[in-house]
Amino acid sequence: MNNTTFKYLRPISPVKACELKDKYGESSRFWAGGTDLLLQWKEDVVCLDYCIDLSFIPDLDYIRKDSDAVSIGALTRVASIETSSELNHSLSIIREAAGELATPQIRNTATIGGNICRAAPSADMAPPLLVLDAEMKFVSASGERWVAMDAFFLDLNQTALEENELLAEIKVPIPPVETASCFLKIGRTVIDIAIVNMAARMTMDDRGILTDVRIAFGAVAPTPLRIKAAEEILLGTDVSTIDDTLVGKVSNKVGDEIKPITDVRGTAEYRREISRVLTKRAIENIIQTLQGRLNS
Amino acid sequence: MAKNNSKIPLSVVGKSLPIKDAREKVTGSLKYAIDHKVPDMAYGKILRSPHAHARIKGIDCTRAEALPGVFGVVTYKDAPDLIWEAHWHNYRGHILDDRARFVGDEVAAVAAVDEDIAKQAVKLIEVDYEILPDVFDPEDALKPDAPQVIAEGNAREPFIVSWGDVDEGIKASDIVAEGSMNFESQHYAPIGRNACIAEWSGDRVTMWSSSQTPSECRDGIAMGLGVPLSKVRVISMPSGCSQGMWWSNNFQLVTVLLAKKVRRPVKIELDQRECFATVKRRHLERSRGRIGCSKDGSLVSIEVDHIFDNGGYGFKDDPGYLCADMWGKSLNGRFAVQGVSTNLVTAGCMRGVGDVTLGAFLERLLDMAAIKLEMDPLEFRLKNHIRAGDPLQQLYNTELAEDYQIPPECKDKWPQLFHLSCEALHECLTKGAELFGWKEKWKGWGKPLAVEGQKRRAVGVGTGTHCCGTEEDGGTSAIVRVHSDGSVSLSCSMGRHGQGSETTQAQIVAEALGISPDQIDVEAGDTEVCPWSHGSVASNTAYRAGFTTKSASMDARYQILEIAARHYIKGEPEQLDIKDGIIFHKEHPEQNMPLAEFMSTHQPDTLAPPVIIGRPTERMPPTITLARQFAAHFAEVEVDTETGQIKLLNYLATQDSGTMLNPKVLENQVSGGAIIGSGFALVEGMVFDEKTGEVLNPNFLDYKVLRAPDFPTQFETLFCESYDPVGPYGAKGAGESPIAASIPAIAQAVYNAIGTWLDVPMTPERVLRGLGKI
Ligand SMILES: Cc1cc2nc3c(=O)[nH]c(=O)nc-3n(C[C@H](O)[C@H](O)[C@H](O)COP(=O)(O)OP(=O)(O)OC[C@H]3O[C@@H](n4cnc5c(N)ncnc54)[C@H](O)[C@@H]3O)c2cc1C
Repeated sequence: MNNTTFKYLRPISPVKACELKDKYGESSRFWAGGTDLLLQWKEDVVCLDYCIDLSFIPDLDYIRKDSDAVSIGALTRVASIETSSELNHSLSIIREAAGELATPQIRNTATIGGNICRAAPSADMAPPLLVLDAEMKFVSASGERWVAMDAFFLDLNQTALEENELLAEIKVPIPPVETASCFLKIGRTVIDIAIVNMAARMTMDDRGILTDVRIAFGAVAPTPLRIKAAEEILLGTDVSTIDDTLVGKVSNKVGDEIKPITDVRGTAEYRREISRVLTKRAIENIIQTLQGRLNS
Repeated sequence: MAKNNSKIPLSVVGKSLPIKDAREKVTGSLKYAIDHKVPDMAYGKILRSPHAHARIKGIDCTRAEALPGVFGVVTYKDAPDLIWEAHWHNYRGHILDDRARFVGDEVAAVAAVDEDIAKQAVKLIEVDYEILPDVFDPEDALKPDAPQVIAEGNAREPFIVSWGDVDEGIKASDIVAEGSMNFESQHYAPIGRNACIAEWSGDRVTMWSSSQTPSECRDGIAMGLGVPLSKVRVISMPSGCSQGMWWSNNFQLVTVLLAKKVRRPVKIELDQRECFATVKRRHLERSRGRIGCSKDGSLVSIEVDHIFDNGGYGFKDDPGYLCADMWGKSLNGRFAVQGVSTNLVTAGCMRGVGDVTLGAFLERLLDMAAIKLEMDPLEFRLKNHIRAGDPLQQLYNTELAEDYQIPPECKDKWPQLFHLSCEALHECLTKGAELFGWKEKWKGWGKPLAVEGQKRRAVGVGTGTHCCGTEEDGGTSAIVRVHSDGSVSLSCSMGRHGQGSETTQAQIVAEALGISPDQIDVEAGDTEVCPWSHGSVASNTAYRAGFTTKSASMDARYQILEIAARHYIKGEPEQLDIKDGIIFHKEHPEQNMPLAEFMSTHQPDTLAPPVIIGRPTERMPPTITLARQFAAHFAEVEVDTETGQIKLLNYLATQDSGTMLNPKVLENQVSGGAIIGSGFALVEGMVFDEKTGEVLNPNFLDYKVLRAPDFPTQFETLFCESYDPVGPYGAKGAGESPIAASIPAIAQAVYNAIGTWLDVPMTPERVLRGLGKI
């Protein structure tokens, strides 16, 4: 059983935070917004004898744009993402996902880093970051390294972060202009954890051939994941020739690839069915945008 | 009274006065039981069973008792061998016994200096359980070899009401339809958690908790502990939204027992999981039945078999299906209702009990018949619903009705019993249809109003009803005391769960006494001050408490006028009146005296100011035998046939609650009912572990209720007033019919959109199954 109190630590730099983590190991946790952690601790799911609060570390809360990427500090509040003007065009799906995450109260507290590091299968920020090929900056007492978003989630609630590492930044490359994206989420009510969430992103060349296709799903497997077998079907096709049959093929592929479970939010069958529907809707939405651009 | 059904001009009743504790609520200063503390208070925590069904072979508390900071532990060994029964059979059992009947059932409790130590100590109690076979499905629990959950046996005596001969009725019908409907268990989903503080002083105990039924709470404690009623004082505090959850609950008795053992005040505070998974819920219910009609759409025969589960400690035999009365025009009827115990958390009354479920099923049968007749559901309802003066079949066909005689002195005063006193449902349906645009929107059975891609829009209409209080466990009373400055205290046992009863009762006092409502304060929760009442259950308060409050006020008024006529204003008491706080002669208004002056003036005969204590002097007829409230709802939905999602686009709730005591309060009741009814229709349902019966969604993350963005912005209410001859100033109950009309309206709209009937809640998953997509 957990202790009913914990020691509260407030490091002032990422490295100091990691040193504390080195010192206290598994009995300590990084605290970002605490919206997940507090509940997990109360429910005895995690041990939190030492709470390492990251929120006073300067410069982990930012959204910065340069010529080829938008960088988001791990401690950036979901509410700041929801309203950021830097996240536009095909990056706006990050904003949309933030806008559908929980309630305004939670969004004011929850951080993007916490959402990803918690590694819930349903994490709303995950599918957009997966389809946008985000890169994650890890920091430890001994240095830093970059990990691709695609290699970030390992298993249920498990990430590529080592015990003594923290996530400092999420870098999202700005895709070429001829790109369109889409985020979709289905919950039981407007405010809910996703029964299924997903994002898709496609880039075409100037002849309308799809050169890059990403489809990612949440809440249908132990981790948020890309459905590469479905992406491959679309890769190299001409956007003007994509018809219902092809869309159906991709949707069915998604249905085959995912491994949903039954829980209080929905059954495996329902998740599989709506994953197909969402795939169809996302592709239709994106293709419509891309075809529009091709014709203009 | 029967003759007095004309409206008299009213000055306070009918006004939308703000609710009395609005300021405290919005500023966060209102105290709920969870906020309450008393000096030297210990904190308690309950050890709960991890097993669905088990016998406690041994229980060792030595390690828990040895933990520093622990004051003591109670187990079944400390509990009296007495069974207590809560209001309307919502709980029946010992405070603690050697059995656990569901996962989360109370096994023991610890009191300690703080909650953390109490929590730790709970984990140190060692229990040796003998695991017993368990049963979760109500139909399984009825089988002869099923594990027996309670000593009385799983099956309650079936409750059957019948008139005519349903088999003959079916034969004589031109069309016959048959159907069934299943309901998951809805939860009260209380936003506020509850707590109980118990403090003994000698052999008397005071208990603070949030309850809709302070008097029943006191009775339960006396029964469970085997002490006289005079030894128990309950001070009930506001509860926040309760929906029938916080009445008298066993955790309160555990607290009282624990406080007694450790000889100091104890507080037990329930956490959210405990609120959701260990107290109470709406029953799991299943209905089957058939209906027969003649070609012109008149009802000939209705037959329903209904089964509901009581969980571990519920003991209900009849979930209060007043909806049978609603369609009592049917020439033949038979309603058989069966309660059954299971190893799930206790089930009991929730707002609209019976009428939300069985009522929705009846409406489904009506719809199935109307489909065969190709008749508009609105027309069908208008043709068949109960009208004023019609017999209330459910009671009319019991022995009670035969035996019951109106007392001779009440012959002129009481309306005809076992017949509906008044009704504006017809108006609700017709005016509602007009406002909603029913004629334009109704396209025929199974026909959507519009189809856009995969989305289909359609409309539905449904009705709901409930009683206006009952007298099952006793009469309702009130005391009105007029103070020396002319201010007034009303003491009337009621709940304070946001329904605004203190305000509406104060309006009744003000109207009757002729004074301003802000001169009146209301004590609703202290059993030492408030006479016995059912409290705020069964839509009781406006109607029954209102009747006694008015009667007590009239008594106080008469006492005032009598003394005034004797000493100060020449005339007979009947010639005097009070208005705006001034006593005056009706024919010579210049002869007058302010009430405050009157109350503080020494009378020549007693040499003291008057003592005015009003009590109800009029006899109240058995209100269940005459009054009903009605709701008719209209809904427009959009069904996404690919994802199965149902969106409410437009909603109109119409209501007949008799005279509106306070339109804003009423609107609040009606819109709340519509939202929570729609929540049950669409998403709300408890999830139980298949193997253990444990509640798997005991919080707001996993148990969803509708919130503002889920409900249409296009939401209206419409009130049609009837005049009840018994209710105060013609008012009736309001709380429970609105929650009963949502499922019928939405289910019908969904049927018209997709052509199939669904079980409740109508989740996207059920929609896709209904469409054969999964
Ligand atoms: C009522 C409610 C509704 C919710 N609804 C949604 C929803 O709709 N969609 C959704 O996706 N989520 C939802 N959540 C979950 C939660 O709010 C999000 O996951 C949130 O983004 C977590 O962020 P946080 O900053 O609060 O994380 P915390 O709780 O502080 O941390 C979560 C975990 O990540 C670790 N961590 C945090 N930051 C870092 C870092 N920089 N480096 C390494 N490890 C780190 C922590 O140690 C902890 O284990 C909901 C939660 C609640 C309480």
